[in-house]
Amino acid sequence: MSPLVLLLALAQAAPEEEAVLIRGGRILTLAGPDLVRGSVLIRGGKIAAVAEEMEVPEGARVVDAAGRVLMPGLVDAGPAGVPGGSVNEDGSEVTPLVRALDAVDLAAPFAARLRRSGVTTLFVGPGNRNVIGGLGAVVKTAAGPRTARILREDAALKGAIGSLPSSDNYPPRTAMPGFFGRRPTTRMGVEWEFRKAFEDVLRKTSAGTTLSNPERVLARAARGELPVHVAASRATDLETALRLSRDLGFRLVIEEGHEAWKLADALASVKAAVLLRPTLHAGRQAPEGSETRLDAFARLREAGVQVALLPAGEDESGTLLVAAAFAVRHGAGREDALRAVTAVPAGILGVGDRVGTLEAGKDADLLVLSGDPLDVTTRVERVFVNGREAAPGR
Amino acid sequence: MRRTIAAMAVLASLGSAPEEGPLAIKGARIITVSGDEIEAGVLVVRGGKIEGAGRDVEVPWDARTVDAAGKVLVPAFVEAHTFRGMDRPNERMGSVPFVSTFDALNPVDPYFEDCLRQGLGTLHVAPGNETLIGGQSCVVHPGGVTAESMMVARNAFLKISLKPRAGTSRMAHLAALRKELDEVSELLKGAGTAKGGAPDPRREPMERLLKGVTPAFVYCPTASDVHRAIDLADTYKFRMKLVLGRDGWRAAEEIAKRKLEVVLAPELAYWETDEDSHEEVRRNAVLPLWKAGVKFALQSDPSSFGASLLWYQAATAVKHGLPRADALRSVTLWPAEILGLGGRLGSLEKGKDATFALLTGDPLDTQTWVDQVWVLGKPVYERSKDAALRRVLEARK
Repeated sequence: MSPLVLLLALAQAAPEEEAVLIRGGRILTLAGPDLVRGSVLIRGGKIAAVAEEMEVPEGARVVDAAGRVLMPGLVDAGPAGVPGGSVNEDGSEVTPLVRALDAVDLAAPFAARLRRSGVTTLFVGPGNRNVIGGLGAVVKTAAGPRTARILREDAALKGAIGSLPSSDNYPPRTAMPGFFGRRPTTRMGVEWEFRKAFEDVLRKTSAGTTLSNPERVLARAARGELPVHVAASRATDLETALRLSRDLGFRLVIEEGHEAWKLADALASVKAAVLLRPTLHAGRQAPEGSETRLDAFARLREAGVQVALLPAGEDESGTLLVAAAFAVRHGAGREDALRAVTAVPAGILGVGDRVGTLEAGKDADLLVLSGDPLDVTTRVERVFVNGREAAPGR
Repeated sequence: MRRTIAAMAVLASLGSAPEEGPLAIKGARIITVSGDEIEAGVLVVRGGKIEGAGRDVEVPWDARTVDAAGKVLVPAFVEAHTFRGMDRPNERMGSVPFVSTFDALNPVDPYFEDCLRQGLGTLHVAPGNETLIGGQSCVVHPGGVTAESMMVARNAFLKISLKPRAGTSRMAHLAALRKELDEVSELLKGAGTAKGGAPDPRREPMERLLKGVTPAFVYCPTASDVHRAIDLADTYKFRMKLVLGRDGWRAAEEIAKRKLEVVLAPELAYWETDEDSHEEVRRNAVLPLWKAGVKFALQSDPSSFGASLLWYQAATAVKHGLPRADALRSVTLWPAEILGLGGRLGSLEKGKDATFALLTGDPLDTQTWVDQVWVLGKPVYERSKDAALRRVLEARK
């Protein structure tokens, strides 16, 4: 390596290498016991150390967090759709190769707004109108170069069961062409399309036929390499999803899952994960008439199901931390609820080695809070993503 | 059907319970709202009124006592403006001063059950924001099986909305409103007789407005509408309270100068994209009004999650910088005063109505539950008997 190239390399690395020591706060690592008063050392965008006592390394910038609470940045695994883009490809009902990432505008205002509520990592996926909707990605909410913001380009394949992919559809040949002039038109049709897409690929694989690119995506899912996020609210749809997962071999992640509490044991036995959107008015106006419970999260956890919480709404009163606070109100353990908005969704999205807890070696994505995370009066004061303090927005 | 029966079971006691003798609630932390908090205090109720609240209040020898040690007693919350608990709130016709929410109230609406679960004791059920002159509103207590038995103040206010109706410009909307007001003014000048001779009963609520008997609740979707409302009130000499949109804080000085009382939009902070810099800017919708000295009530939002709960709104206001005591006032005493019921409701003071809630902990804590609610000295809600709640919440802690 020539000296010039070395110099350039160093110059590029320099800002990344700045060490930051955040000290004096209560630290919720979510990977073990809380530290009543501790420090987090950040170097090169990663967490270098978390400890109760720490010397200030030479040249490190010190951030005083006395009286504050530190916790990992929040992970939103929700089917947020694609901010700034259309989410349902109407070319076909089965579009495995469509990538949500191609439609995301990472510079759109959503990132700053989510960050302010504490979200540092976000799943962006296609919508719920297609039986198989395409590939979802995991991105960070910080400003910065696109490459630094993308954690996984293909974190999951998006599918849907139940009435949503078929509702309002009419047979294509009988009417004007349009989005709804398409199959399937029944719940049965939805399941059939889902199953056929996979079985065609499995048949070709066992026959040794070369697969097309979209088919390769399904083959990866069938081998368990790519989890399938299936939107299913009602128990009957959840049973269908479980059956498909068993027959076709894919790893199942339930989205929405309003009636998942009814099938808690079955979900636990196949190690399916649930992304649960909390509700306050149980039983009323639930999606697709599903029967909701206030203690759905606690029940699923008791059965041993992996559950991540989703934001309860788009406004400030439905953020992930609020969802966690109400999960505790409705019977969940405190640590369980906090992990359900950090480490658990990180694991479900396959980025558990990078984000979700405060441990040495992980990305330095963390929040400085004015108080306890489950207290509504607490403010997110500072947000660090990849070791850099993100502009909070004014 | 099952739900209706459950609702009746929870609510039925308001009109019927024979709570004649005095009642003493002992040992709770009493948040009076009007004065200092009382640690381990006693609150005595007689004849539906608070007879005393303090540390050394004497307990009548014949009082039924409730041991509330370790719990917190607060005045029941007051929702200053809502469309819930009733049939469709927006009449399609533009101007319907003669209708009243009294006729649309559904006492067994599950919403009223939820109100009690969240410690709400009084609500102002008003016509919606989509009609120019939407009709008359009522202040009610949740609980009771008929609209009459819920009533605190029937036809208490006249609702006016400055939000242009669908397909109408602001100019046309305001012109239509002035036309109505002009006609009624003319009518009043002519000593109460219409051109044809007989008084028009459909306009009677408008006459009461212009005579200063009934104040208006004027919805101002934007800050600029506040100036329009003030202009109208000056021209036609009527009294009014304002229901603000989320940027109502921009009119804080004008509102304070005129000593207008307001109901805030449910969004207490919101984002805007700065048109010049494209930066995301966060707006605080509550502090500017508080700093200007405006008396306001917080409002909940049925379509939101946490914000659908009034106590949660108070906690959010604290998050955005409002002192705790005033956040509590903005869901109790201030809305009561805005509704003209400050002498009866909103604080725990001698002589006021015995309408309060007993909580398991701090009112602004998400882990707190409402254990019991009393309205006018009568128990109307008890969590230990709330079967509907148990049905959806059984998880062991």
